[in-house]
Amino acid sequence: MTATAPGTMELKLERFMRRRSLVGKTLSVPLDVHSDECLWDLLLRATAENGHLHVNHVLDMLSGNGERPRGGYEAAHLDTWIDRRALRDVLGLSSTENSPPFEKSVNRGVQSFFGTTIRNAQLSMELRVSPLSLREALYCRAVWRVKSLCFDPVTRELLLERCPVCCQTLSPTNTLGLQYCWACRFGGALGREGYQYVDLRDFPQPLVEVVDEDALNFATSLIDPRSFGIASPTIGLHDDFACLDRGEIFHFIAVLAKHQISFGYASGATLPNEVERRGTVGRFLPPTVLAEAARMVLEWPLSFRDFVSHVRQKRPDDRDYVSIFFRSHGFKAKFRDTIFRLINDERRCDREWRALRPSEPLAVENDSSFGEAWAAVAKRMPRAEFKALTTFIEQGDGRGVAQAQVRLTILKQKSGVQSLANSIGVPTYELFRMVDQQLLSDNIVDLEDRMSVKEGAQELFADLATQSVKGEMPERFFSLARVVNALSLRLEQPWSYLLRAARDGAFEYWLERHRGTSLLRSIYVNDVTSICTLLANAPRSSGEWRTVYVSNMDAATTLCVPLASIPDFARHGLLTSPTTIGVLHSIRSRYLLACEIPPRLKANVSISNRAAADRMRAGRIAGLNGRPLTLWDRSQAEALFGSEIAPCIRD
Amino acid sequence: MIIPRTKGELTSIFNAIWVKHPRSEHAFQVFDELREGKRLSGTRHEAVGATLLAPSRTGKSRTVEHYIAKKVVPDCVQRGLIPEDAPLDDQVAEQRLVVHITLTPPSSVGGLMTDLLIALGDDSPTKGTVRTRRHRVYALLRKHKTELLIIDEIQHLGRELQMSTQSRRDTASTVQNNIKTFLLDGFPVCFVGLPEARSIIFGDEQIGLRIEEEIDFKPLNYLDVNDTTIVQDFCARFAGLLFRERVFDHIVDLVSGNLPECFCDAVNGRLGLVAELIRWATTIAFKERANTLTRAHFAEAVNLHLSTIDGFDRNPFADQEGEEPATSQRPPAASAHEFREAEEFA
Repeated sequence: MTATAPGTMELKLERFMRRRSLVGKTLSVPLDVHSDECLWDLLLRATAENGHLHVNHVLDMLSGNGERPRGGYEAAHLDTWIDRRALRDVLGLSSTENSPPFEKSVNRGVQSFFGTTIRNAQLSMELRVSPLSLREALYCRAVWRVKSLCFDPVTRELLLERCPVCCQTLSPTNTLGLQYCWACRFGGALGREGYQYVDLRDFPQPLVEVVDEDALNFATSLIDPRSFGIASPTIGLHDDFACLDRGEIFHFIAVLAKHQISFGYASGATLPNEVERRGTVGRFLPPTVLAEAARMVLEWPLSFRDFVSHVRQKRPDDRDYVSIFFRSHGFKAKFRDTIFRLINDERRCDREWRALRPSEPLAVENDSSFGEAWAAVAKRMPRAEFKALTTFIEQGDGRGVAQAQVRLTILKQKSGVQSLANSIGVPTYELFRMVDQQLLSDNIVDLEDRMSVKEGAQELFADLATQSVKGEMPERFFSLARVVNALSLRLEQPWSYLLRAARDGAFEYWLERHRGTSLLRSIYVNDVTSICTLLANAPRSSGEWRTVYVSNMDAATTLCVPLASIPDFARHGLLTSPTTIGVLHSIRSRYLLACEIPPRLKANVSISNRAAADRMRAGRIAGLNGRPLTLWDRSQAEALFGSEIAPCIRD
Repeated sequence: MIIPRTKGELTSIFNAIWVKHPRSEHAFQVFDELREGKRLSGTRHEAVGATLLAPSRTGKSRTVEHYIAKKVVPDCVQRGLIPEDAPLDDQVAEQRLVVHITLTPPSSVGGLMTDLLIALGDDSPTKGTVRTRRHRVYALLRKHKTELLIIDEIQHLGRELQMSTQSRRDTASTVQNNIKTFLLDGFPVCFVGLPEARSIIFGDEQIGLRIEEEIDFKPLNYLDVNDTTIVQDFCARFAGLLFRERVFDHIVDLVSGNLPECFCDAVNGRLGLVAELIRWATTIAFKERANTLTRAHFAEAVNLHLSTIDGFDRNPFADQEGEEPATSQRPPAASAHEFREAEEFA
């Protein structure tokens, strides 16, 4: 705040003298605007910090004590009568920096929101706060006003909407201070001892946890003004979304999530007990459902088709089931058309499929020649899916469809496959090998079996838990996912081989499960050398998967990075989405991440990832900067560390 | 020769002159200690207070004003609260670390809150009920991190507390209670006023027991050795400042002979009045177009301005006629060092 730039002092002086000339027309405490604070919250904070009790006082000052239009409370209407200059004078803002964002009506029912748009109906006039966030900084974030979010994106804390003591809703216009409950004034002890009020910061709320953290992060980053400075999350999304801005994509996700609940599609549609107890289930979207809807957008359009077909099975008589919903939510005509097209395609294909279905069994699994297999798939598959698959493949280098690709694409149609792979911590294509290694039951890759496979790995988890070492964790330990990523540089990483070795007791490991953490990341090993030996003995890659296209999620798992950094890879031109396993392998051969260094160091030496990165930076190793990952040139880095680190095992 | 000046100019020069003395230094130290205590302890501790009680014209209010201008304003600048290069008057008006209010009679809780709100820069200090105003006062005191409240003319309250009307007495005691709550809520308070106010401060146990320091500002007694030094230093520094401000061409001798004793005697030991006496004498000298101050000027000043007031019937300057104070080109040896120091401080 107190930057020492040469011009700052004069600005400060000017602001000071202006305030002096406005005594009686300006509030006592000058404010600084936070970058993610909306106008209404700013006015409320100005009221609170100056000890006024009702926001009307500030509104009156803004209107020059003249007439204020009725309905001036609506955030969208503030811009119709508030003068920017008056706002600066009254709140004591400096003339140039940080002018507060005005929410403006853009269209009917839509208003601007920090550079994107949001529907009026999505903005709540109620006050909801995150106590943990208030402890950090005493202001309300604009994102708390978004109705579809029931948690703070940064702290992941459920938002508090009622005072925990008196159970009244928090007042959006009266205030004793943003951190206090207005209703609990203890019979009029107004004024003196602030500590007699109910301090909401003393009531931290439960944190939201979901399995698919990446998808949830994606959803919140669309609407949270805090993340607007960082690379747009919409890079790498399907072209269908090109006509929408990020706020509209978020709105679409929210609508999808609502439908998922109403059609019983969402699997984890349970809220944390806390929210259920408060009885607000109907009003806010459970974070798990929001994450699933976001995942649907990330894996567009196949996932959406799956949803549509699910809805039809549920409501076979309802002809216009989904269309009605989407029609009423005010999407752009172009995007609406896209959705209707997908829905119609699905309906037509379904009809064709029904006609075919009684006769022939699926011919992919046996050893028929590739052409036959493809034909069988083409016939069996709904047309939209088939079309999507063809475009998916044609976007690549034009080579024909690999059989593995077909198997993978069909596998991914099954519900729950992605969640299963996520919970194990492997890409979806690895599931085939896991079945080969008899780690999972056959019916998971049985493409005829339409049952959900979400819970398919329970047995494996139980086996691994019994085999694990109980007791204290050693001082130096790494997760199995990290060790494999650091030490093995094969086209097909031998995850299943190692999991099998673990189950059979070939090395000792500790198991510490946390919610939302995959199996591979929960297995901790101490003796890296034994893993090295195992890795060296692992079977060589078959090469069968080299040209297979994979989704962004699988690419992220393969590269051992969070999903959110895939756009960074795309921005550096390293991959286009979707990408093939071969490309991913070549990226890994050229670059490494700083976190790969520590597991490779000789035993008894341990440094942090940051220290490794610092050393590489000092060694002037070429790297690609990304947020939050930096890629380092593999050959240079390995030369720098030399014999200090164990070599990588390659094909 | 005398640089011609108007009477108004002279007044402004004398208003700007500030002579430091051990008592004001002590007061500054007490203020600093109170503020530091507030800064270092949290909001939930009770605070302690101080008193600065002395008869009229001993320099109480000047001390407070000077403390704010010379100590508090630089603190604010250092903390980045107000810009360095703004005019001093604006800086003083905008600083909120030390809130200095003057109690206006007739006292009422609403009036007290309004005075505080004005000092805190509130936009509408008269608006709201007493309770909402008090809420605002507390919110602003916390927000501005105010470290010390100085309440001037506290004796008004005392007079009202002894009035015959029951309602006036009640109002006054409510004001007293309100001031007390500031102490209970952790804001140090310094009471400034006439000695008679002692009874209301120490008459109330809750306030009296929280007073940690009574700043000594009682009239000086020239027979006391410490006080003698204070008066002599004061006169020497004043002479230096008069020379610096070019009121006269030469250094005026205010220290030779028994002059300091006469000063102390004539004004009953009130330092603020010494400065005033010199001003009166200067005005007289200017009227006569004299180029320095003489004993006769002081004598006349006492005659003109003081002799009519009860308790100031002596004129020591007239008693010992014949010892003319000599003007000299060089400052008196004793005051050369003091002169530099005074300049530094001003």
